[in-house]
Amino acid sequence: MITLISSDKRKFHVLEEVANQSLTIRDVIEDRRGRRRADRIILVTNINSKIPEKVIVYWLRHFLMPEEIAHASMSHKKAEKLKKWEAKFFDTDIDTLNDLILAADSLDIPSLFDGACEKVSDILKNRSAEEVGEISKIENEFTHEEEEEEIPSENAWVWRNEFA
Amino acid sequence: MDDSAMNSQIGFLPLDLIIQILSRLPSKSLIKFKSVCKSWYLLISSTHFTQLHSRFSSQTLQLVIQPPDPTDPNSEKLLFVDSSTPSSNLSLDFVNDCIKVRASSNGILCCSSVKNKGVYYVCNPITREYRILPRTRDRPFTRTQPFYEATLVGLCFNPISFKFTVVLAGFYRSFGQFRGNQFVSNVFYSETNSWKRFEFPLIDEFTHMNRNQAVHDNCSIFWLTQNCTHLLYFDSEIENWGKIALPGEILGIQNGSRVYLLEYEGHVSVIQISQGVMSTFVLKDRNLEKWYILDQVKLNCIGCFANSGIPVGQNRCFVFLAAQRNVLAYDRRSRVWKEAGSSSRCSSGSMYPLWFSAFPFKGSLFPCKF
Repeated sequence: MITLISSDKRKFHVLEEVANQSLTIRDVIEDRRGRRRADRIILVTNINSKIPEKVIVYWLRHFLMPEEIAHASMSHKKAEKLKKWEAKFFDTDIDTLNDLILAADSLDIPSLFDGACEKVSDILKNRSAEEVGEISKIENEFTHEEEEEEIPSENAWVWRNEFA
Repeated sequence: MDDSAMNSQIGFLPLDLIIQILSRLPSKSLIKFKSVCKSWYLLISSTHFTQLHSRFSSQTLQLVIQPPDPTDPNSEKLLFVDSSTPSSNLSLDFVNDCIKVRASSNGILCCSSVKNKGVYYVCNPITREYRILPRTRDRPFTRTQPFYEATLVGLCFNPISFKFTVVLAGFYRSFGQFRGNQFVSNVFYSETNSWKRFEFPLIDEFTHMNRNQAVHDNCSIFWLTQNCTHLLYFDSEIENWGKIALPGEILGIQNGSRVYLLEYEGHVSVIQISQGVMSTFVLKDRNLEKWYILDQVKLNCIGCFANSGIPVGQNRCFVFLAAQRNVLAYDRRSRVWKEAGSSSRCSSGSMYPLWFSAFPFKGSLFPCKF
């Protein structure tokens, strides 16, 4: 059993086999093998407690079917089921998705990372530049003239298509 | 872009994660998002990002279909069909000419001018960038159907170096002669912006049903010969033409079978439709002329399309079959057929069937200036 501690000091107990899906954790466990039990505690300082919960749910779902099976030889029915489950899993607000991406990045969980990135790009895909700026909390530092001249002239067709 | 900008946090996520998200977006959205902020503009325009993005975008296959009559002002737009979303339109009006798509490679199209024979363009319909190729010294190779153009047109765009080659080839027919006996090819190299001319003794009769679609792998462009026994290829590295025999299974049954040349995940592939079965072969080793069979699909569930459908594009997940008015997609994983795009927009009153001008297309941000 492994204990994860989040930034707000909540503890999560996970089976080692399950947590192994994180390459970072696997490496840490590998490094500390043979040591005392206290060393099986891993601090996950950059994420709050909401995220480990989600990550562990994701792990448990995926634990039952290792990566290789999930892609190559899994039956079509099972693949569809997993797809549906993932769609539901990733159906949250953008802030949670961003935290998931950060967590998946630092814990090195490729499938979770890909899934979350895909979901975010899905959300952004059909939005306008202004909406995307708002969602991603970006200040548009283009000066007014630049925006008027340089960019729209290059992309005039995009604007046209959008209102068509 | 300097390093400090690369490591900084833009908005909600660190830049390296932003890159991961953006690289999964379709090219069309990215063009739009260039105006979100300056760092996104620089990022999306950068070479590194373009390459990273192509790695993701090459996984989704689209078909680009040009309305059969490019001179008709109402049908100037290209139609993009994909397996899941409704079809969309893009116009080629940024090239101020009436053009016809002749070849497609990594999101770059090679088009010929309809009015000015022998004028060729290379363009990216997503970024709306184009380049007009200098004229060759040869007069354009003639052909009766449907416009007078070079018989074989091939484009090979290298996604790493951004360089491309265009091959125009055909039998040179001197004045008064019924048919040419000299195989002439003009090859355009984008880095030198010049043509090179090669002449060969008669190699083989080629072109297949007027759809002499070229397929490229890393350095060669392939065509199917008329009698469906060989592939003809031009290797731009060693600048030589060659011939490869099709798999024995195809050569075995000649009667009543149709053979088509397509790309499969960067490899050369042929699809044979014979007695209601569609078999896909992939070229494994060019020098040994070794093929392997990818899959065999029974076509009886699609009824009359089995006879009229023509495979026009494929990847790991899908095979696209184009017929007179609609496009069918076969999902290789679930083994289900469905109609791709919205059929109402595909159909036009023209006499030419859809497959006549359908090319596989993988949207990219690649430039065509190198």
